[in-house]
Amino acid sequence: MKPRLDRATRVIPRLYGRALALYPAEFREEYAAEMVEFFGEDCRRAALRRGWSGLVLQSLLTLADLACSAPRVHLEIAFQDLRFAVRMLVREPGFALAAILTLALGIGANSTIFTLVHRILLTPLAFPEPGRLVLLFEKSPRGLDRASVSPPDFLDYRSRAASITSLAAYYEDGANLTAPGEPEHLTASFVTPAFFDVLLGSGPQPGPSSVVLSHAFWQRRFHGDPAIIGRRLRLDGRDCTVGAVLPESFHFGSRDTALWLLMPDAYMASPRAARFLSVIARLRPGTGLSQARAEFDALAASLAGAYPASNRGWGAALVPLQEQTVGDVRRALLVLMGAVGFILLIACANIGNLLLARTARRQSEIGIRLSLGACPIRIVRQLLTESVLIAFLGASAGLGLSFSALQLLRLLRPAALPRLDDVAIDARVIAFTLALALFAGVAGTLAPVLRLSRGDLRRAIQGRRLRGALIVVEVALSVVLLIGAGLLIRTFVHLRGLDPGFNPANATAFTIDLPRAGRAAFLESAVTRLQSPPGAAAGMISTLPLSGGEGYNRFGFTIDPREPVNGDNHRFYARWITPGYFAGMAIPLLQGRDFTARDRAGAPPVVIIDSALARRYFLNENPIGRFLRLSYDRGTPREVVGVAGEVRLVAMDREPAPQIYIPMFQEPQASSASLVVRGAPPQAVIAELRRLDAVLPVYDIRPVTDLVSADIAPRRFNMLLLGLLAALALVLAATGVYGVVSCMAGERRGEIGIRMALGARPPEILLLVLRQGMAHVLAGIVLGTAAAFLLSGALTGLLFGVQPIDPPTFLAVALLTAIAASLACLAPALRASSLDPAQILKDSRA
Amino acid sequence: MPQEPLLPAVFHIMLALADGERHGYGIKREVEFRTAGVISLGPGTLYGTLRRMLAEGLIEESADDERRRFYRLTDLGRRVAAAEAERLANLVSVARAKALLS
Repeated sequence: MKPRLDRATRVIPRLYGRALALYPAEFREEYAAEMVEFFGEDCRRAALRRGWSGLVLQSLLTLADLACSAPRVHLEIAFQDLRFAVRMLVREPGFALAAILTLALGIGANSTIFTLVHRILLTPLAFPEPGRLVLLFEKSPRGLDRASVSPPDFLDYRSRAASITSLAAYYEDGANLTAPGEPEHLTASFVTPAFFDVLLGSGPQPGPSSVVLSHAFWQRRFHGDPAIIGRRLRLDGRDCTVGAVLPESFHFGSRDTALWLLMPDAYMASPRAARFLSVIARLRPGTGLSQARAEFDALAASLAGAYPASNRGWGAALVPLQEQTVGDVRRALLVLMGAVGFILLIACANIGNLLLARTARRQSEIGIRLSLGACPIRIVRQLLTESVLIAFLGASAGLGLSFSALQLLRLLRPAALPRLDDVAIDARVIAFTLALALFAGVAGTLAPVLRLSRGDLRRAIQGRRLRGALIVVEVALSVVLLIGAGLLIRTFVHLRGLDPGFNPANATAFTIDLPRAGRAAFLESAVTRLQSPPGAAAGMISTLPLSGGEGYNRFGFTIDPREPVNGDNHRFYARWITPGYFAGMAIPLLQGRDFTARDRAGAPPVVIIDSALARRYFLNENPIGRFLRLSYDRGTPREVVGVAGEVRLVAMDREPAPQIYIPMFQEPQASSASLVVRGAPPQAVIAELRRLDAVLPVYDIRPVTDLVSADIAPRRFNMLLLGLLAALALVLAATGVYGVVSCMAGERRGEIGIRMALGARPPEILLLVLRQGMAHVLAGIVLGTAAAFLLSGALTGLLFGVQPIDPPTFLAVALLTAIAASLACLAPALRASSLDPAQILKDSRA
Repeated sequence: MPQEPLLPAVFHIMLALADGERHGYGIKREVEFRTAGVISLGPGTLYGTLRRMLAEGLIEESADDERRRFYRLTDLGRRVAAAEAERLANLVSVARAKALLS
């Protein structure tokens, strides 16, 4: 053989030896030397027979062999590890169950909240290029920055704005469907022609006599009739046909909007000061939000210059649709995301503790395997396989939990969560969960594994200090969560304790659509009839308190003759009521009289003010007999005839604002009203109304208590969820404390035996174990309280009537945690103190 | 005995060990010789398969000289190999009955 060829037959096998690094270490240790020799032999034979070409061919074949066999050997060893791991778990079912359950809870909580965050905050809305959709509001000079838009302003913005491709207005209202079938009151949206084009790019077009139905309404009312297009409907006394049905995925505006109608042209002729339209726009491609905002600011300023009477001081606000849809939920969800992150960390710490304790129990097994020559990497790999297996089992159980939790949420339909229909576990959530599981598995084994790899077996197995530190962290994390939950609970209790200004108990609210003809007469006879049963109280109001829509009925007033008619108005909320409303709601009449049937059209105009207004504007005077001019009717003087108690109108967490009540008999303009009846069964009320008008739509019947509970429902939901998570954290942390203290007490068994033999009494042993456990717990409480001091500011927007740093909450949580943890320590301490020293010493000698 | 056919590499190794113990390279040479060079086991395939066969108890290590290990069939291995041979023989007789083989 030529010398160069000969050298090659020696160099190539050496290179092959390097390439064997692709095989698992365990396999390499066993076979690498033989494999190199094997290949060397092959090379020599090939070179002898065919020279260079033989050597090259042989090398290529062997390379292919390596590429095929290395992954296979890896897989085989992984399966072998997995089989071993399964056997180990089956052998210790208690450990397996505890670990899997802990992780399932941690991962389940995480994937549930992640699903919500992902769907509600991160997933774009289901419209083409949703990032370009913005809502247009007007900003009032009084600081209301999301006010509706007036039709003339809308027309001006639409014709002049260059930063948008299209602009459409809509106005949500009711519509009465009277044929085909039973009469029904529906939520309807009146839209300008471009509405669906703005949202969908191109879409159905409601016409002067054709309507667009929602998918849900089409399914419910028409059972998904495929021949629906062109069907005739009778809506608000007019005939129209069904022009289109929207796809199921279309969600915009109110959840129960059943149909979309073309906005009547008459709307556009409204005065410039009548702001009632919602407006949606699509930004021109490539136009940034700030650019568009600058343009709308300039347009608003020019409108203010051109129409000072209606627009002075008014601005324009563009808000991305996503931001508006998600709204206040954002902060709550982010807080919950943080909370479940904590839970996962606690779960990981628990798993870490369980694994450390288990490694300690397997001390002799691992020792024997090491002394028999098992390579440490092999053992690390085995331990990692076991914990990753636990993590994946935990993740599967966690996904199951999360699936059930989301089903439950969909059933409960909390008002606090928008876009809940879209929420489902999808591939990304599963990917997130698996990533969490891997993290939990690796993080849980990391501590013992790192030490094993450093070959520091003894410390790895004991890990006592590490276990103590894990307890401190667990307790601290759960203290932070408990304090957060405590603050939300205090907020809720505070809100529940607030007086709404009316007594919601035993009263029922109905919404009725008032007949067009003879409305005043209808109102009068309805109220008189409903009030006639002994003990019954009944009255109507244009809009009930705490039921939203407060932007619409805010006007200005002046006090006559103290202030000039066109002077700067004071703001008030206007409510039109019939006699009997105060009695129905049990709102106290503090001074003067209620409205009567005599306060009707043609009689001298009168009003009743509430105590918030009286206090602010008639501090030391008697308001009765004074006159007010209201801005919406060019200032006819109206006499104040009564003062009613103040009511929380906008929300329970907003102070009562000045209100003026106007007799509905005098101004029966509203097309619908809410009826409140106290002391009569709802069926009797409906029957009575039907006697007056057989086709009168009566709907939205609910106890008045619903107003209050619906208003605080989002807070109750946040409180319940965070409370649940905090309780979970406490249970996990207490389990962790129990596990570690049991383990530490077990390790000190010999020492305890000696102490007892030397005369220590059981209470002293009890204290010894308790002290060791509680030292870590107390450190955790201190650390957690300090962290809560720094973190509770994140809750600011979710709190009401409670400061983020609330000493009673902090103290109560510290106490609760200390009690829970000492109970967790007590069981192992009692066990240790009841040991028999003779038995221990005998065991240790054996 | 096996219902599933054995992997070709496994059966060839068994055949090579049927008449006595051999080391890794010896197995390769025997297989090459018997198949006239049609089948040539690479080192990765050979040792990967040997490792699996050891774990399954089909073969065992015999004498361990300084440099290389020798392998031989266990009783189980021999029975598995015989069953596989019988399975193949049955197939061949069917093929012959259908006049696929002359």
